[in-house]
This record gives sequence, structure tokens and C-alpha cells, in this order.
Amino acid sequence: MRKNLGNLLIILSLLLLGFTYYPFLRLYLPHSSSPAVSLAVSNSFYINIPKINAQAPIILDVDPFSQAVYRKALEQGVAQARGSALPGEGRTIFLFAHSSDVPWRMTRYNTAFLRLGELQLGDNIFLYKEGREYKYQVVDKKEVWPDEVQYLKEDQGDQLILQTCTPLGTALKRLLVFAQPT
Amino acid sequence: MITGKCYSRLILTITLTLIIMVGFSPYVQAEELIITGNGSDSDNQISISSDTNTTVEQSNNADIRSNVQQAADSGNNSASDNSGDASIQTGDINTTTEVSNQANVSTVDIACCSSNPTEATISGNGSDSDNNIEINSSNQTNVSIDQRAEINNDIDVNANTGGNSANRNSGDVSIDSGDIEGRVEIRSKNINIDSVDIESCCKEISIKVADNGSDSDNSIKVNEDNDISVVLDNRADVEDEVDIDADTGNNEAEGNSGDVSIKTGDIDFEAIIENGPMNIKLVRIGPEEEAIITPHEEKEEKEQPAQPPAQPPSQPAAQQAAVSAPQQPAGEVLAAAAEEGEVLPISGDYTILGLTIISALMFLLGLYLRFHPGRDPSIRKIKP
Repeated sequence: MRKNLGNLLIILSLLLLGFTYYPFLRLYLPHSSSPAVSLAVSNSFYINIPKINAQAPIILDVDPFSQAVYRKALEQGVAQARGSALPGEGRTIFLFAHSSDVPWRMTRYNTAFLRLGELQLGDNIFLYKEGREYKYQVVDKKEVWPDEVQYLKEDQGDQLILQTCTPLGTALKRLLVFAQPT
Repeated sequence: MITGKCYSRLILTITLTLIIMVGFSPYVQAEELIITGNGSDSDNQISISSDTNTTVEQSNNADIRSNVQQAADSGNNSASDNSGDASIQTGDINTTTEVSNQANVSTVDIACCSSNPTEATISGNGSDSDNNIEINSSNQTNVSIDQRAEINNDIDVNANTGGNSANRNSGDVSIDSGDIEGRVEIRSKNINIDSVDIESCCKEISIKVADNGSDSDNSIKVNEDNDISVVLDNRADVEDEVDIDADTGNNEAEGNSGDVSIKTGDIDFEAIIENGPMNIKLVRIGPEEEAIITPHEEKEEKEQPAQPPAQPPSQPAAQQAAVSAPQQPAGEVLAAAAEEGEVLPISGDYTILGLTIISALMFLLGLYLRFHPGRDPSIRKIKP
């Protein structure tokens, strides 16, 4: 009986592990269609990061200090922090999105920054707004503590900052990717 | 053709009708709606509709440029070609420059002015009567404030106690340049402050349907649609440049026959640049006794029974302050938005970690049970 119980626990643990990490694996698979095209049709503002296969609509003007507000926005895509700029304005654009969520809720759009940590210097990031393309190149990456809000509140000129939580599956620290327009 | 007899009957009919209408019809006062005392099989209706639209728009632009140049020079003295001793002692310099800017303070205060009734009563009507009261109220309040501030402060300070020369003297030479102390302060505060206070009117309506005859059909409907929209947009561009050039040196003593002593003064300079509070939004929507402060919310839509007329908003003014005293602040509403406890947005979840730990524990326990020698629980026979 011990053996049977042990076998059962082993099988259940493997099933639970599969259930937990299958959404992650699915997001690593190449797209069957081109979501960038479908995004272009339905959204006037979206992001495309080819290196990590990330495409998602961008929700404008989201309060980054109100959890109730941005949680709702992040269910649909990437949030543009209220007070930060839009492409072409010559100021800092601050975008943030989930890197992980509960497994049964994970979609391509609401965990758009799952693989943000894989970006390296020189990788390209594209923003599309009202038919116009804005290209950025990664120039820096940082892990910071959550209370280092100066990256969000201070304008450091024409740049793009992408933010998500790190390590994956936690909300311990924040991963910031800095990109300059090209 | 109307004869005299017919005319009399007509007047009587009209008069009786008016008496009936005034005496038994439902009547409307400012705050009470009452249908009462009507006969059986009567059909009585009161319907009130109100539609109010309040819009407040403010737009402010401030362009402040301060250019301050200060120069103080006690140096550049010369004592040369003397037959005896030469001594130069320059004075100390103490300089202070202060620039203070305030701009764009916008205050909107909308009070409650509701004319909705407070009581609706259907009572004492006859059997089979049909009595209805319907109150429809639609109130839309829109507040939009747009403030832009561009502030440019450029401060240049030049202070010199040095640059002295004592050459070709036949005696001893002493040069002692003075100290330089200075302070530059630039403070841009209370820039783009929005204060919006909308008093909502949660008036209670007392509804009563009582003592009506059998099979009477009575209904009271209250429909209130209140929308409050507050849109606040502030942008501030502040550029501060401070250029300090302080010199106690560059002194020269050459070709002298005696001893030479050059002592240069100390330089102690301080520059303080402080920007903020800036882009502050304070919105309060609610009854007068409540205080709802939402410094970070720009737009709110709420269901409130409010019917407010707009009071004239106080006009903000873009003030240019080069080196001047601060302008009048907006009072207690100018408290800075709370910064304590602010963190970068939470964009992760611990569920994955939790499930992974649970999986691992289950797996380890399963391995333990599977491979660790032990006894299965025995089954005791129970004696009857």
C-alpha cells in the first residue's frame, strides 16, 4: 500500500508540474499565425519583440501605482505607465507587463514579458502606433528593487523602458530593459 | 351657435373640471410628490424628468525663464615696481542667489444643487385606481484641466578675489586673496496643481404606498443616471542650469628682491536645486463630510445623485519669478502626492513558485513512500 501511495504521489506531482509549466512551454513555441498582423488590424498601438517572440497590444495611460487599475489592464496586454511618454515625443516611455501569471490564466498577451530577461544588448524592439513603426535597440538591463521608483518617475530623455518581475514566478525584484531609439 | 343656456353649462363644466383637477389630482410640490384621495377607477400619473449637464474646462500654460548673472571682483590688483615692500590683501566675497517659481494652480469647486424630490407617496386612493409616480434624473458632470509649464532657470555666478600681481619690487612681497562664500538656490514648487472638489448629493427619497383600495395598481419608479468625469493632464518641463566660477588664485609675484608670500583664500560654495511638488492632482468626490482624496487618479466615473451647478473656478495665473518672493500658494490642497510605499508595478505572481514547491514535496514524499522500507498498516480482526 505504501508503494501504491508513493506511486500515486509521484504521478500526481508530475502531472501538477506539467500543468504548471505547460503554459510556459506553449509560449516558447513559434506562432501558428502572425499575431503581429492580427494586432495591427485590431490595435493602433502594440509592441513586437522578435527575439523573444513577444507581441501584445499596449494599454494606454495606466496608473502604475494603483494595483486594482493595472491588474485589470495587464490582463489584456502591456501597460503604458501614466505620466510617461508615447513614441515620438522625445521622452521616456515606460511599459510594464506580466512575466508570469496563474497557469490557467496565462495567454500570450497577458504574459508578454515572460522572456524579457533573454534580451541582450543590440536586440531590437518595435513599437507600432497608428500605422507608424518606432524601432529601439536594447542598451542596458538592470535588476532593481521594487522601491526604486525613480526609473518610473524621472524622465531621462528619449528612451524606452520595459519592466517586469524577476525571478520568473515571483514578484521579488523588477527587471528593467532600457532601449534607445534608432 | 352657443346659446346663453349652453354657455352657462359650458362655464359650469369647465369650472367643475378645474375644481376636480385641482382638488383631486396628484399635486407636485418642490420636494414632495403625493397621489392621494382619488376615486376608484381613477388613473393618476406624476412624471418628473430633469437633465443637467455641467462642464468645466481649464487650460493653463506657463512659460517662465529666469536668467541671473552675478559678478563680484575684489581681485586683479597690482603692486609692482616698488622700491620697498609690497602687500596686497583682497576682500572676502559672500554671495547668495535665490530663484523661486510657482505656476499653474487650478481649483474647481462644484457644489450640490439637487432639486429631486425627497418624498413620494401614493395613499388613500380608491379601488381599481391606477397610480404611478416616475422620477427620471440624468446628471452629467465633466471636468477637464490641462496645465503645461515650461520653466528654465539659468544662473551664472562669477566671484574673483585673485588675479593679483606684485612684480619687480625691491622689498618683501605678500599677496593674501580673500575667501569666497556663496550659495545658489533654485526652487520650483507647486507647479501644475489640480484641486477638484465635487460635492455629490446623496439625497434620500422616502417612498410610501399605503391605504389604497383593493385591486389598485400603484408604482413608484426612480431612475437616476449620474456620470462624473474628471480628466486632468499636467506636463512640466523644468530645466535648471547653474554655472559658478570662483577664483582666489592666479596671483603672480615675479622678479622681487625680498621674500615672497602668496596666500589664496578658501572657496565655499553651495548649490541647491529643488523641484517639486509638481503635477499634483487632488480629486474629491462625495458628500461634504467625507474626504476622498485620490492623488493619482485622473479620471473617475461614478454613479452619484448629484445635480450640481458649476461655481466659477478660480483662475490660475502663470507667474514669472526671476529673483523674487514666492507667489501665494493654494493652501492645504497643495500637499504633495504620497510617495511613501510607492513601488514599481507588481507584474509577477507567486502561484507558479507555490505550485512548484508543492509538486516537489509531493514527489519527494512519493519517493520516500515508494522506496523506503516500512510496514503497511496492519488490519486487526475485531472480535465479536
